[in-house]
Amino acid sequence: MVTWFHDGWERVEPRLRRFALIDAASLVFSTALLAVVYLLGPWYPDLQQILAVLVAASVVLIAGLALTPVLGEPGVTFSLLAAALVFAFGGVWFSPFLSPLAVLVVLIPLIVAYPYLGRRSLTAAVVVVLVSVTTVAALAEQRRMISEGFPMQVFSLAVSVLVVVIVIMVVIRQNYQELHDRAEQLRESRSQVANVADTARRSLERDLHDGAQQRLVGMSVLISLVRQLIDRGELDEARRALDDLGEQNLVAINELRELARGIYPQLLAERGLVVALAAAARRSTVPATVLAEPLERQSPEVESAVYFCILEALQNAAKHSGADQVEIRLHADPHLEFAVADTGRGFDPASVEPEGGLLGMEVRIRAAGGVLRVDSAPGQGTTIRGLFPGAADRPPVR
Amino acid sequence: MIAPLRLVLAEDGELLRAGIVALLEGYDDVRVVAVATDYDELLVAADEAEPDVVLTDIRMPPTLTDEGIRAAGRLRETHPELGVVVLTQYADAEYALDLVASGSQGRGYLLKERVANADELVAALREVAAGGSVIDETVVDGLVSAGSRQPDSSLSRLTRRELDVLTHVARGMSNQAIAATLSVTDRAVEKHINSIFTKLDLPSDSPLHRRVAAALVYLNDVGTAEPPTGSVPGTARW
Repeated sequence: MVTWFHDGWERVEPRLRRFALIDAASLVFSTALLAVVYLLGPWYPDLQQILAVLVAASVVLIAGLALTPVLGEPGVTFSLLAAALVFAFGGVWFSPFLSPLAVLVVLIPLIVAYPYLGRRSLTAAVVVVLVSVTTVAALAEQRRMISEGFPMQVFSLAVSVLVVVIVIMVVIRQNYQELHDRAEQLRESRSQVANVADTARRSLERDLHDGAQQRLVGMSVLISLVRQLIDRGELDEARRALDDLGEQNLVAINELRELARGIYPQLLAERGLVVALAAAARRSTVPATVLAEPLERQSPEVESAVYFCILEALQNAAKHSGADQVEIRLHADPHLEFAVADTGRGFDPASVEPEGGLLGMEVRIRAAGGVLRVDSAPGQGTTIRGLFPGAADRPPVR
Repeated sequence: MIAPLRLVLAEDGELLRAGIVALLEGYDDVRVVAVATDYDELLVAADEAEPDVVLTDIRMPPTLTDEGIRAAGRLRETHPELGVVVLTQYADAEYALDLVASGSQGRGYLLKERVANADELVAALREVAAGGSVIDETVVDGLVSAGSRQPDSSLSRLTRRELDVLTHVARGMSNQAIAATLSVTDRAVEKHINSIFTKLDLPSDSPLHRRVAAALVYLNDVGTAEPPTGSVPGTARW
């Protein structure tokens, strides 16, 4: 039973969980505070009523939260909302002064839980809140005329205001902190993207410099040699030099073709991921199979991130894993997902230096809006997985 | 003396275009009757210059992608007898497969650097003009080696010699040409081909132009697998 609740509770997003705890704690705290005042004090009947309302709200909230394993995140949200409604209606009924506060209390769960609700739950919550807020306000106006016991109502108002303001402060502070952290993460990942791009450009420059350019320079020397040979009438020598030139030229063409493909494969631009990956798998030194469903074209950022990440995984498998087989899987429903699985020797992901190729892959995928996961252990082979949650999905909470 | 081959050359790069024209001037049996620099000009030239064969760059204006392949497809309908050789910088088999998708007769796919060997180029043009096919050996070799690397590939059922023969078939060579290259009799080549097509479950009685495409498609498929639609095993849980 306890583990059952614990597991379900752990699945709820941490921020929502924290808010539910704060909410429950402050509710229980203010109930206890009023109870103490009530017991020590002059036994005002008004206080008794408010106390009953607070106890009812606490029970509703705790009972709702206990059902979290069944109801999940929407359940948490609606428990918070239900407790707020009990508090608002009960509070306003007995103490109409509470109406502005009650309206605020009903709004808070909606503000906090907004990111965790699906479209339908969100619509339901908005309707409930709208109707409730209106009703609470109306009820307060109606009750104000017939209410009495002025001093005690001011006291309960003071206690509730204190608690509610504390809760709101905590929530707002958390949201600011969250925003701040996100901005920090974003800055960091932007600089990582820039670093990865720089590294790629540097290696490209090296390849061009040491490869094709060197060869072309060598060829221009050969060309002037041919001219000299022809001038001197040594035609056989000239012919041999020309043959040499022809060969060098072919090598340079090949190098440039490979480089061009490495920068951005024409097949990827024209035919999309599946076709380009099939071609890449064919060139792979370790046998690779592409298992893919027909796939709609994705945005260029996503296509190139996925392609180059898979290419890197393929090269890593060939270079390090000792695998004799790699499987590339591509899957588009409901989200774009890919996996590169090899049967090689695997590694301990904690032991590799974070600056290596894995970081480059992760940065690339993250910059395109996805997440990357590396599953590997010595002797187990390695599987690299990427997932691109759709834009309509939950925000990237990590 | 045979009538000179009437050639339309389509190439947007000025240097290469001038180079090819100059190279072909050395051959009495080839006459460049028109040059084009983009897709539209090529189609007009094919209509007006009455060529026997077209030598075209794969990538030309307006989109600089696969104009050559698309022109070849278009010309298959408007001028079924016209041969088309596509010059390409891409060694990927996908474009070659597109080119032969509607049959490989009178179609050629050559890497650009082949123009350096003018004799070979002219021989390819002649072959294609006569309704044959020429697929660049780099492209075919890439497919064959990828297919052979796959574990338990169906290609492993072929003998070394049979794999050679299949490679030559995919390059578009006739039985006689294969026999000459491998220094065996026509009869032996025929026997090899029957054996290959039986082992790989390919229709063995297909005419030459069908079997080139069949061999290419087969080789391409050996390295790529598509599962039936549905979930990809092992990636479902996140």
